[in-house]
Amino acid sequence: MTYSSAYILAAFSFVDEFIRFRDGSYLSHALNVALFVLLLSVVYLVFQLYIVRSRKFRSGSRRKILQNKINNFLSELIFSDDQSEEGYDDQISKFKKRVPIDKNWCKDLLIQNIIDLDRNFKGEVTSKLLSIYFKLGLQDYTLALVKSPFWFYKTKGLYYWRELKYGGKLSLVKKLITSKNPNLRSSALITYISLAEDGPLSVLEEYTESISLVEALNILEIIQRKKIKKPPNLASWLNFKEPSQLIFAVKLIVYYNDLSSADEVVKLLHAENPKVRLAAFEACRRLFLVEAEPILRSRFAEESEENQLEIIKTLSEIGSEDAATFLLDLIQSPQTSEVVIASMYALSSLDGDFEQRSFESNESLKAAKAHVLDPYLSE
Amino acid sequence: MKSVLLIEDDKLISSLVRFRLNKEGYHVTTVEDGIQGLDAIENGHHDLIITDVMIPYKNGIEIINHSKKINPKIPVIVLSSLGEEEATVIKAFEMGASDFIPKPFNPNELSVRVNRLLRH
Repeated sequence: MTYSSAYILAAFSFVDEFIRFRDGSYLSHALNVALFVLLLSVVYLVFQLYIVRSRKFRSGSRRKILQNKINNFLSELIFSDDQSEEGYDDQISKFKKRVPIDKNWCKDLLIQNIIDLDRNFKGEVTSKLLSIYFKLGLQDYTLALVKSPFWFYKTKGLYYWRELKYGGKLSLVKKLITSKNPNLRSSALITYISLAEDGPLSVLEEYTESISLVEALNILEIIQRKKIKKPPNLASWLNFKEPSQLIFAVKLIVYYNDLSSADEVVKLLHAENPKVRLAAFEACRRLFLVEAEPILRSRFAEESEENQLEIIKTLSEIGSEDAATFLLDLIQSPQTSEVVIASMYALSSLDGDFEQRSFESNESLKAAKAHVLDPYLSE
Repeated sequence: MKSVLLIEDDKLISSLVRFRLNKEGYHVTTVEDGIQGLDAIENGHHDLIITDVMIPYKNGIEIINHSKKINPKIPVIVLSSLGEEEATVIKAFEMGASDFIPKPFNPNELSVRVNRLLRH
């Protein structure tokens, strides 16, 4: 008898001992069946894992092969000597026969490659990309994605259009801006602003939902990248009722340095919503609205600490001697350490005699002044 | 035939650049990471090196440094999507880069710059 057979017999004997009661009877039949089912489940799970793993490996290598084919195809197509329409069509139809173009994963890979080319290259190369997209018939696929009943496919289609700078179906994109799904709505809004040529920001006038911080940043990035002109009626946007839209309008006024809306911005210092007031405090600083100073001082006591810090920051930029006196009084009254430090920094930029001022009677103010004057700790 | 070493981890970019430079009559060797790049510099003869700044294992600045130690006469062109970052540009030129091309770039322009460095 070999060692392995001995081990197997020992294992059987152990299991036998384990499932047998002291009186010699075995566990119930149901328990045996349960153990058998458990064993089968484990075997099935291991088998499934093996299948998933091998399928993933196969698809990975298939993608790798296709990627190489795409690299060669795009390079040859873009730099081929025959740039005629017929030459293009010929190369594209040959390529279509060599790849599984009817599979969605292949279409996704092709579109992603065209997007990557657009991101990394400029000039003659990129001017050909949209025509390659059409000639490969990928527009039908992206249209089907956008028309799909599932929001995640729709957003994928919108992403493709946005990155490919394809604005051929803007009416379809605009319809999705009113979707109930926030992800889809957001994607459609960004796509529309990114693709529309005439007054893309006017869509915000019809937009009834709130604008999240991420959306606001995305839209500002598009405005900067596309150099979108200031909407003609931007000042009227300060009448928006929805706070996040109002805050975004204030950000746009700052971005476009729209000083003609200064009075309206100053009025917002009294807005009911604290977040709107916070945006207005920042706008007064960035637009250098010195007329806001008395209001900032008068509002200070009623504000939250976050808003107070913003007021101090603004006073440090636009404040007069009155602001310096206000800040001096402020630090001598009980305040949080953040407010004291911010006020000290503001004083150091407003008060010409700051370095001569001694706060001998107050140790914490003395320490705060030393902190502000320390060149290694400067803001 | 002049030889160009291209160190770029994006296969699509390297394929396109290789194709464009081949058309100009250059032999192009492509590698995908910094270690392969250093190996190719040490063991091969190249008339020009084109390197991305952000590559696996080593960065483009280290590639310039290494190539200048081995042969300071080999010109190096740096490609980078960090084009706006002044510090990277300055560092690349301090290390001895001959040219700096920010991404996105025009492959025809790259080809002109390669011609300028290799034919003069």
